[in-house]
Amino acid sequence: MKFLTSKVRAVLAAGVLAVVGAGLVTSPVLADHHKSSDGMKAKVGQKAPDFTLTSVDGKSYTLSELTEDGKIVVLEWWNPKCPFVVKHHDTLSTMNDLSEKYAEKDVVWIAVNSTNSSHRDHGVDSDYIKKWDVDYPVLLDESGKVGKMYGAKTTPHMYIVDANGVLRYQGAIDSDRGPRAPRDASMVTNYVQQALDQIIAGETVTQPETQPYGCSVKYAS
Amino acid sequence: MSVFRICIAAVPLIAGGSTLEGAPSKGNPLDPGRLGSPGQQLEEPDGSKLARVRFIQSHAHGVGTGSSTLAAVFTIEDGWHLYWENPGDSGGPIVFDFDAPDGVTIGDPVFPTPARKVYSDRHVDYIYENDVVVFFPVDVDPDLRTAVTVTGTVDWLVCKDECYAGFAEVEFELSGETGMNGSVEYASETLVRWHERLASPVEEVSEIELSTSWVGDISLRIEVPGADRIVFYPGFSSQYVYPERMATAGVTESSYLLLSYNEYLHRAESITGIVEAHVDGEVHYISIRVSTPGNSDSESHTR
Repeated sequence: MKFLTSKVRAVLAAGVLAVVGAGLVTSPVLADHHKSSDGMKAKVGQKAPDFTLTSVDGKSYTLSELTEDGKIVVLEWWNPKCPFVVKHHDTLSTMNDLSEKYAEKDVVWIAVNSTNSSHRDHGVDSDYIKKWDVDYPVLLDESGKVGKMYGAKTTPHMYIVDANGVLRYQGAIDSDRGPRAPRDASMVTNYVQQALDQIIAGETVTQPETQPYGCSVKYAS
Repeated sequence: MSVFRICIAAVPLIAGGSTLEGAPSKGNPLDPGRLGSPGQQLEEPDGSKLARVRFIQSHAHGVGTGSSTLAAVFTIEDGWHLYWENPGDSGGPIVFDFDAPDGVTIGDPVFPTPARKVYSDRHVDYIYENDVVVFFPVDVDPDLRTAVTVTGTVDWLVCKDECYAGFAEVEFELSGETGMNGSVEYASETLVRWHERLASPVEEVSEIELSTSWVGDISLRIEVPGADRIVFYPGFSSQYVYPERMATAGVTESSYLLLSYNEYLHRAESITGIVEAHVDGEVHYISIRVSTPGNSDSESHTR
């Protein structure tokens, strides 16, 4: 067998690097962390797990880059086929209204879709982004790695990461657990709005965790 | 089997403009898993048809302190499910909203013990499949000589692999008379079966012993001597006070269960839930309310 020439070795090495690089681009990049046995790392009061995901329109978003920019980041787990997501985007405009209101207060709102590619609900994001006039990124997490890292269980399931990268809230968008608009909206507490106001004011979040409600996230397994 | 004698004074409800039918036929023509002919657009399932509800008043068996009982009877399509008042890690509860006229008081819903649906070691929901009956204590002023009409709405989330919202506008009659209005029907097996899954307060249970005690600051031990299986269904907590890892820790094939509560335990004066205990081939459903550590009366409870 002939020895590999230096030129051939260089080509092979470049090929290996290209393959590795492609793998990094197409899968979510997970910052190092102490791994738990079930992979879940997000815990209120601790640094939020970093990630990089690509949006429906092909842009890359990295959580740590947003917080290093001084932004508070709201993560909204979404599936536009879920009645509860429909409730807050179509029947009501909860998410759009809040994202617009807090944009001027350095809050970045991001939706994450962890629906696996084999599921009936997969692949319709663009239609609903347009239909509901969603003005913030919708990131694709088809493998479910980021969803599982955060322990996202429902759509919607809300998380708030402060400008120091610390997870300050996780849970429901509000206290109304029905799939339709409430009869009396004044009786409903919006937990995300409450938490954002407290974080912006430098206060302790009085309800840092609530029970999320909604459809289960459609993970692959 | 106890006879559950009922008065059919209720009118079938209106769901999205259509008339309620009886029990759904077997098989679901709207099953998205079924293949249509090539090029055929499969109809989007309708949550208001995947589950249906009707209301029945009973003067025979009371629930809570009501003088009569209102039963919301749901039928659910094969393979689909509705959720308990604490749906678990995902889902949404059945929500009732009644407009009752003067002289009529409808109490809070009393949900029967659900079943567990485990998705992973970190995800368990509490559900109902095939059918479910939710009971309400009712008081009707006996001076009301005629039946009164109650209207309202019912909302639910019905799921299989995907989920749909269901909704019904309801209208039914309630009577204050202890005699029977309209036709009389001996209760279906459905009502009796779900009535038997209502949990009894631990103070009223004499057939078995049940004790609870706090181990350290956050662990609750539930013991039922002689039990070979215990399941715990944690009650809904608006303060997010829950035992952890219920998918695995919520059931045991022994006579005691040890639950570790989350760090918010101190926020609640008490925790609630239903204990399902299997003893000598019999299943018992017992509701518990246990004061949290540091609150009065939080020492061991034995019944």
